[in-house]
Formats: sequence, C-alpha cells, structure tokens
Amino acid sequence: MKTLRLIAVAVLMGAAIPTAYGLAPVSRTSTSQYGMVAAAHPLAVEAGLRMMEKGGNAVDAAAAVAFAVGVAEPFGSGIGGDGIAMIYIASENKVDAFEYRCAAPMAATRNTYPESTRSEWTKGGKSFAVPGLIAGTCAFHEQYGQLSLAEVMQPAIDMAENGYAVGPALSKVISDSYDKIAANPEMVKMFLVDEFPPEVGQRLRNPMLAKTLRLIAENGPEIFYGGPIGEQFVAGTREQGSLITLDDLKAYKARRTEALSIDYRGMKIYAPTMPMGGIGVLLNLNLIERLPLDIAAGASSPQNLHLMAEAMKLGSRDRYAVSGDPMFTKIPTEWLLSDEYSDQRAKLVNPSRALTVAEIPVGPVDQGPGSTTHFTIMDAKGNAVSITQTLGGYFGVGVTAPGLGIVLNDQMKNFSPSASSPNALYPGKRMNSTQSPVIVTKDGQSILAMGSPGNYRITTTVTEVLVNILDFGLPLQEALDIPRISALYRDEILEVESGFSAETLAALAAKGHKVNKHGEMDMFFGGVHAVARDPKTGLLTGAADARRDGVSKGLAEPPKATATR
Amino acid sequence: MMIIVRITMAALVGAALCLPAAGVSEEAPAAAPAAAAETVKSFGGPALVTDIGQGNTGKLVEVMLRKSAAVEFTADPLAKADALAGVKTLVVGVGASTKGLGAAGLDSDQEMARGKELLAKAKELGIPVIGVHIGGEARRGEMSDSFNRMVCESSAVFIVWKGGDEDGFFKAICEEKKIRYEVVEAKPAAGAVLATLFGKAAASPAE
Repeated sequence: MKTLRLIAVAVLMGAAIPTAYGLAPVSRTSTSQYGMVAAAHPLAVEAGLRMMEKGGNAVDAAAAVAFAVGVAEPFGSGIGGDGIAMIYIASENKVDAFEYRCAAPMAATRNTYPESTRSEWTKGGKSFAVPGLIAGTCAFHEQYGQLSLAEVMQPAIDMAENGYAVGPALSKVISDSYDKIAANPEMVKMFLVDEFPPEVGQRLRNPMLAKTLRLIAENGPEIFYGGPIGEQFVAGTREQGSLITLDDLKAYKARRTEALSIDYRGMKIYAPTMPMGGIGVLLNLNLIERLPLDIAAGASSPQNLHLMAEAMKLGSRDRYAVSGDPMFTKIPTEWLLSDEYSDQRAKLVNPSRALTVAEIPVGPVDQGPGSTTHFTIMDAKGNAVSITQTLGGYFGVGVTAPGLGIVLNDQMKNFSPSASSPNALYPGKRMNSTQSPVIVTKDGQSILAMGSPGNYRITTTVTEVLVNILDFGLPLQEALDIPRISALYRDEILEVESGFSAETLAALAAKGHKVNKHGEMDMFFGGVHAVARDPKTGLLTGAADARRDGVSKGLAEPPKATATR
Repeated sequence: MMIIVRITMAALVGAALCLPAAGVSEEAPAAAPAAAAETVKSFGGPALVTDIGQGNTGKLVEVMLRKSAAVEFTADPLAKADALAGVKTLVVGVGASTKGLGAAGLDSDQEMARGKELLAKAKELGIPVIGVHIGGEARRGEMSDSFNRMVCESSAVFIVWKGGDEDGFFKAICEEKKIRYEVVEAKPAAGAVLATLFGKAAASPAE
C-alpha cells in the first residue's frame, strides 16, 4: 500500500513540475516523435533540444548538455571532471564509447603519494587528477556532431554568464556542502548568496567559467590541454600543491574504446569497458538472467528483491576484484562475462537466505557520496547518446582552478591503497569508476538508453531499473520511481529506500539481510535519466528521476533543419 | 504594529519559557521590526552556538551572528554538555543530514544522545535555548523531525524559515508548549530576529 502511495506521489511529481524555481513547467516524463532529452536540470535539457531544433543530431545535443549541466548542476560534474559517453549510431547499428576518465599526473608515484599520507590525498592540490571532460566531449562531438563547437557550447556560456535558477537538489547539496564552499572564496562567489546557501529559485552566476568556456568554444580544447588556459590552470593549481604539469595536460587524450556487451532476454545491452563500471552492470544482469525471478509477483516482491540483492553482491565482488585501467592491467573481461562463469556464480545464490560476508571475500570500496550526473538523448533517426560525467564527491573537495571558474575533481582518492590491486596508483593511470551508462538494442535498433549517478550505487541502480523495464515490463517512469535497493559484497547490509512495505522488509530481514533504511526518493540511490524508443513507430519516451531535479522533454515538432548524420 | 514589551532579564527568561510571544505577532515579518529603536535585551552573552543533526544550520547561525555582531559567541557543532560552563544562551541550529552525520563520525542515535544531554544540561543550568530551523524541506522528514521536535520543545524561542514549516509542524509544537514562534520569510532574516533577541537592532536582510 505504501508502495502504491509512493508511486502515486511520484506520478504526481512526474506530472508538471511547478514553476517553483522560476522556469516554465516541464515534466519528468514526456514523448516525442522528433527528439528527446532527459537530464538533471531543465536548462540543460533545453540546451540539448535547441541543438536538435537547429538541425543538430543527438551527439550535438549531448555535447550541449554536457557543458550545460556542468554549469547548472555544478556539484555533479563540470569541466574540472571526467565522464564516459556511449553513442549508438543508427545508420551503422554500432555502439561507440568515448572514455575520458581523469588521469593521475606523471609525478604521482608512491613517493609523492605515500600510503602513510592517504588522508592528504583528499585535500587541496593533491586531491585532483588531470580532468578529461573537455577532451572527451570535444572528441565525441568532433567525431559525430554536425554543429560547430561554438554552437553547442553557447547555452552553457549563456547560463554561466547570465545566471541559472537553483533547483531543490542543488539548494540541498549546497547546504550540505556549506563548510566546503565557505572555505573557498571563489566558491563563495559562485555558489552562495549573501554568504547563505541559495534558496530554490534564486539565481547563481559564474562569469569566470563563462569566460573560460568562451575561450574553449572559440579556440578548441587545445587551449586547455597545453594552451594559455592550461598554463593558467597549472600555475594556479600548483600553488595549491598540485603535481599536474603542462605536459600532463598536453599528454591527455580521450580514449575511443569498444563497448562491452551481453545478450539479455533477446536484446543486446552495451556498457562501457574499464576503467568504467559497465562490467558491474553486465555481471549483475548475467546472474539475474539465471535466477528464478517471479515476474507475476512484481519488482518489489521480497523474493525478487532478495535475488537481485544476491546478484548485486556477487557481481560487485567480481567487479572490484578486477577493476582498473586496461592500459595498465589485464582484465579477464571475456571470461567474466562468459556463460560458463555466469553459470558457476549463479549457483552460489541461495533463494532462501542472504550470502554472508564469509561466503563472499571482502575487498576495498569507496563509500562516498552519490555525486555525478547522467543524461540521455535520442533523436528522430534513432541515434542515442548516454553519458555519465562526474567530479567525484559533491564539488570535489572544494578546490577551484583560480580565476577560471572551474571546480576540480577529487578523483585521486579513487585509486586503491593496495599496491597489488589492479587499481593501484601509477603515473598517468586512470582510476577505476562505477560510471556505467548503457544502451539497449533489439533487432538492430536502439530501444533504450539510460544511466545514473550515485557512487557504487550506479551499478546496482542501473541494474535494478533495467530489470524493472526489461523483465517486469514497467512503464519507463514507473521503473524509475519505485523504491530501490542496493547491496555490495563487503557486508550483509541491504540498503533500501523508503516505500517498501513493512512485510517486505521483514521478509528480507528473515532471509538474513541487514536492512538499512533510507529516506523517500533518496539521492543515495542515484538519479536515472532514460529515453526509450518504440522500434515500430519511432516514438521516443523520456523519463527523469525525482531524486534529482531531473526532467525530460521532447521536440514538439520536426526540427527546422534536418541532421544529415 | 509591533509592540515590544520591556521585561527584566530574569523575568523575560521565565516569560519566554512560559508565555506566548508577548507583544510579538506569531506571524512575525521577515525583518526585525523597524520600530526596533526600543529593543529589549532578551538573551545574553556569551552564547554557545551548536548544531543538532549536523545539517549545517549551526554554521549559518554563526554567519548570522558574526554579521550582526549582536553577541559574543563561541561555536562548536559537536558541543557536549560540559561546554555550557559560563554560557548565557545556547543557540541550536537543527536539521539532520546523513552526510553531515557521516562526516562527523556519528550515527543518528549518537547525535540524538548528544543533543538530549546538552539540552538537559542547559535546562538544569537555567540557560535559555534559541532553536533555529532554516533548512527548509531538506531538513524535514522522519529522521530530521526527531531532532527538530527535541530542539523545538526545549527552546525558549524557535526561529523557523516558513519553507520548512508549511505543514505547521513547528507552529503546533510551539503553540502546545507555549514557545515563542518566530517565522521568517527569507532565511537570512533569521539573523535579524537573532540580533533582536540579543538586544541589537539589526539591519534589514537586504543590506
């Protein structure tokens, strides 16, 4: 009953979102025949739609959203961070992946980052790695976009220059991050109003960032990766103790990689390869496909939740055991995703009780906040772009590149402390990540693209929402709205969102799960933004997560110009 | 028109604990009354500012008091009962944040225990409490409200931003317990109310 109430609340929330923060009413769910964007801020969604209206394709829209959401949702991503883009090219029935994870500076060694000073890795200049977002976004845009870089960056420049409205999620995160922000005079100017966290509807500006973005738009990414902005970046951050040099920036390149994929219930699911988290989602799904889900009982039945939790635990155990930068470590991906291995692992699941920690060996994991952002775009041709991007923790550790308006990532903490780990720190190496945007195809057409922020809950949330849609057949928005769980191999704790019935929670506890209850629509469980496509009619449906300020919106009429790619 | 009642310090503390807001409308306007030329020093210093729930409201109270210079104060978001020695007023920012609790190394039970002990000691020592909730809906909900209720019920005056009391939760407690209820239209305006309580005519929030 409580679940039904929650769904009703979510449905009402999914209807028109009020103009409480000064923007025209938009919806969490919408449909369009011509193009669709789902992202964590209405202005970012509008940025993407504007590109499609001008005749750009899904990739142009994605590039616009990438820069815009970094302005309007500054705690979750930005040009001081990194990301991963999965791109489905309809005309070629092909998925391309661009990985632009942050990279350790070449001076980052076990001498300069000794284990004994690990707490220093999360402070000041030592906390951030070489940012990849500018390189990655420009790389995929150059490969597949039609509009100019200046055109796709203009919405972000306008927002940073003229201001953007603060939504509920940003207002809350700024409140939560107040200490961090108040300690940095540049961040005080960027994110506080009269030294106070902004209220919903108030506007923030970042003119320093507008200037930086404008220079990149006019000159290309090279101005950052070795040019004058890069020089200013290096000079300003080295004063804070950073080891990043101009050569590190010059050496940084986005990687174009082959996506991982599995067959799942007659569909193909694509996810990014290492160092990103895609293997985590695919491991989970391979297990779930082999477990006796009771579809009639529904996605929130205790037995189905138990089986999914056990799959998450086993899948995460394997992911953490192998996760690292493939340029530095061999990862047995093919074996891990094989039918033979999946069959073996699925046999470990006990339908009657939760596996104990002793039954799943423990390894290190980062229990950080659920920062990061995700957005999804599809255009009328069926091209799809699914991008997750991040700074790491909310606003990183509160360090900025002086004078540039850039909030820096805090990704150096995501290297393993163990020298023998595939995720150990090495000069130039990219640390592992749970970011896992996915694209689903069937019979050679895109049918779904989605992803989520949320630290290690990214892989469990993406798994759970995929199962809600593909196995339980839930409508797209409902699949996002129903309460979530998350389980990890390292303990017997089952994180649950409010909304499950008392009977369900009791049944899970009776199986040995240590239930840890979170709030309603809790950001802990991520913020999914998804677009589905009906392969018969081409109708696009967008859905956005009420756990963030997410919205989806489609083009109401055909664009004025037509994308040629 | 605001009527400000002049009462001696000892009587005011008792009155604030027992009587409804004397001469001050419950729907107090956002700014301190313009007719604050005749202010009453209701609460004294030095004050101790703390946070119960670790939702950062205590930090914002510090900002407000620093800007108004209304009272000498020390701040400790994790203050314990023994920190009350020599304190004349306890100002508590309330509202829970799981992130804040985690950063402080506390779970909600531990924070609740700390809060209870602190408020009990303040009562024992006759130190009046000013409670402040300006976190809005983000600092409401099941966990937050357990802290919110505890602090509100222990307060002599409770200042709340209207966005966090749309359901009348705090107003109902204040009415029931006869606690002075001060609601503000904008969060920074809580600073003006605080300044007035400490006997200083504060600038309007716009300045």
